[in-house]
Amino acid sequence: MRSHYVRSGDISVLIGDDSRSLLHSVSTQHLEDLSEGETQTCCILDANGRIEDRLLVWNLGDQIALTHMMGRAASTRELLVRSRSWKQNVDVIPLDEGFSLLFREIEGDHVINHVEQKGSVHSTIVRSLETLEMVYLGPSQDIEILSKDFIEQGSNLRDSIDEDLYRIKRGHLTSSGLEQHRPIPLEVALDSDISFTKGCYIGQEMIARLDARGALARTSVTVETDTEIPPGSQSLAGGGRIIVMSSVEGNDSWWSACLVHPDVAHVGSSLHTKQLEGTSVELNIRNRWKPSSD
Amino acid sequence: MGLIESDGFSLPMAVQVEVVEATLDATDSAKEAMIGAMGSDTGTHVLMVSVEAGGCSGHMYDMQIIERPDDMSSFQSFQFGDITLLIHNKDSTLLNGIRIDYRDTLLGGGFQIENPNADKSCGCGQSFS
Repeated sequence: MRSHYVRSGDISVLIGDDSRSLLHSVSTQHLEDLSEGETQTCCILDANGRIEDRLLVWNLGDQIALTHMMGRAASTRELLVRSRSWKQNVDVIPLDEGFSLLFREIEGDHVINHVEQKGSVHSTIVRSLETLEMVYLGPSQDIEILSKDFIEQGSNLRDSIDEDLYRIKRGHLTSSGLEQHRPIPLEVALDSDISFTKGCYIGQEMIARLDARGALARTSVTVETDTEIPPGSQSLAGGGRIIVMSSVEGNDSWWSACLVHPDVAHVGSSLHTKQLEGTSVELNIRNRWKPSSD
Repeated sequence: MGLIESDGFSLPMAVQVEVVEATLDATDSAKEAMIGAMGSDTGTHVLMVSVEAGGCSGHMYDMQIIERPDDMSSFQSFQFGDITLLIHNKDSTLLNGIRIDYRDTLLGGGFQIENPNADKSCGCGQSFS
């Protein structure tokens, strides 16, 4: 059955001639050339290349809308305001109330990263690994009407736990996962969020080094277990560690987004946590996530 | 096409910017290079040093020769012989105490800024935080 998810707030609008230039200077993507009517995903990183926030950037002509995908709007807004030069004409406007987002998986061939507008609601299609999603952005009352229409058509409205399960099964980074562990974008297959030619930005040194070496110490996998595994770093039987970023209970089992060494990230294989007080959890690797271009 | 109308929504975010009375120094080689760059425009033009977002450390230096602004009230002015160097009040905290040098090398040459306020800086010398 199809499903969709509605989230309110965590939206910012940038107004001013230098909006794209300011965003370009602090993000992982080449945003200076983002055309009107186009969208682009990108990350804000810390100095060690770890994800601080993930953005969907909408060029709406005289305004740039930012949807903070990881719910970390406050820190990104502060970064933008503090980074703004006195020469730049940019206002950062928080929209924490009155506007919402609706995410709905779609199938088939579609043009991605192109903005459509119907009434006051904007929409775009984004690709996240193997998932194509229609993202709607607009006033909350209009998004609510849209959601009711989808429900009438048989779509199931996901709650926040369903949403985490949906994301974990598809290899997407979740807000709760980012709270537990700040991965480097390449570890969680977010290569499409990065321009490897744009030049310097905060965290770029780490990304460039990993890209040049072509070898990651960790890669993301979706793991199914019979019991809950606590978030954090766990020792594995036989050596090595697994980082559990987020974990959600499904119908009959638990599903977790994890990072492991690529040498042990084989789909269909099982890992075991180190026996602690007589117990060990069997971790069944259901998917290993790589960028869609691989 | 925009998401919000011009009025009726949240106000833009603002931050309080501290302004200090900055000090600034330049080496003899930097002063010579400034004279060379400015040529005969020293009466009508000024050298402006500013800070922009970007680079691998978060902030980047910018140096430009610009026409002398009519309104100098937002700037702090420094005189090196005939050369006037300006910094904007909003950059005064980040640029306070800098020393401008000039290195005549084929790679990585040009004006260099030593900044006592920088916790870290990039190898290229243009980015700092």
